[in-house]
Amino acid sequence: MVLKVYGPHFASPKRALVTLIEKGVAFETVPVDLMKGEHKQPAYLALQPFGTVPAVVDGDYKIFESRAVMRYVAEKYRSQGPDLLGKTVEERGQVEQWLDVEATTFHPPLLNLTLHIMFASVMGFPSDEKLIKESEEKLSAVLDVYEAHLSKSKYLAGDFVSLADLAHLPFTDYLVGPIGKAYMIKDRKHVSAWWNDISSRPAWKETLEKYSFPA
Amino acid sequence: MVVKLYGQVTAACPQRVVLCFLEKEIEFEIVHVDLDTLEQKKPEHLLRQPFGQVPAIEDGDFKLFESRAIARYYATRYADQGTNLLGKFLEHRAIVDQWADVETHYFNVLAFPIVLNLVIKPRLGEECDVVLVEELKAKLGVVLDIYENRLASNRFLAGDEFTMADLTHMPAMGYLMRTDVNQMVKARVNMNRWWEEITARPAWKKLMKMAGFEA
Repeated sequence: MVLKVYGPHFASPKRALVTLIEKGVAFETVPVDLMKGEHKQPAYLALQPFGTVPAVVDGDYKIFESRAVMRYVAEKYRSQGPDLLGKTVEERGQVEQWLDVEATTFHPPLLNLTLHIMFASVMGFPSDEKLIKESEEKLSAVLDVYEAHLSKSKYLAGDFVSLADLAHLPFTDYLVGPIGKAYMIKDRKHVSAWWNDISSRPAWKETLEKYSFPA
Repeated sequence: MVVKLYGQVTAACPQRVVLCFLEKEIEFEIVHVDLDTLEQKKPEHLLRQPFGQVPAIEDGDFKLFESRAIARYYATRYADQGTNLLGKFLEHRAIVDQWADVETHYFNVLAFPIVLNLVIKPRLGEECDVVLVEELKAKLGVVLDIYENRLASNRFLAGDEFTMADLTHMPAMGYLMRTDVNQMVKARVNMNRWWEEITARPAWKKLMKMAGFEA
């Protein structure tokens, strides 16, 4: 039985999808209709009790939280495809550090921008201009730190691409696209070069080609 | 040479690392970074942690920040010593990662601003946002119901044994339990059972003593 990823058209599941494609792992996807509230139905909550995407089912094994899925796939298929965890315990420590930076520091302000700029009208809440402004400022300060770091390091965890870089792909793709703030990336020389590099990887291009939200 | 932990033993994120060191019986030294005088934003500390936060570690030439990444690194490096915090095999480890990530995305996002308003602001002579705290508590109630359900059929978050998934919750929970939020935990049978069991661990008791909370 093949591994299944639920909710492929949304951003967070794409962290799992790009990792699976990088590692050359066969998988299937199962669409989840968030508009119809499918994620709040008992059948889905049995897979993911918080009612968010993704959820992953691998035979009898269930796992949720996109970054936990990334780690699981990278570890399980360590011997195939690029080594996304680093070669030593210390390199892995750096991967975990930047994966956590993405989760705790980069993602929250970017999530606010995503919800309030892309999805407010669709989800039926008023777009908070003050929050948008504050979130952009916070994200800008974070990107300044990335700029300094990437001027000394080709990828976030060192000279190799890792889960830490891939974790940034889905929501940064929103930032430079529908959110309309590509300048935040393009105006920073090293962040821009890093973004061009990781977003032109074949695995990411395939992810977008196959699983972009239907127009 | 002993690992140096830069931070303050009363602050939640450094506590996460201290708890890991104590559970793993790893010797360490705390180098005090004074949060009350914003020492974490000064140039010397920014060299260790470019986002101006605590903790950061220096272990010989190896440096790392992000408390959860630090804890994972030491739990991996000292896998055979002290408490096994990461699970015995891949599928178990991924469930540990899953519930550790839940702490970041569902629990801490609510716990941190509650603690900020109920505990930290009064200490700094600032006003608590009462309306926000009530909203956050309502959301926290929904999350705690999911935890309650999980702990009804599992002794600890990731299964039969205490792991990183439980440990990572403890610092913020420790602060929450000193506020009226403790009623929300005590009202939930399994959460209460879990909290009593994990806070009876010697490592937690030692941490509380170090932080000046117990005689």
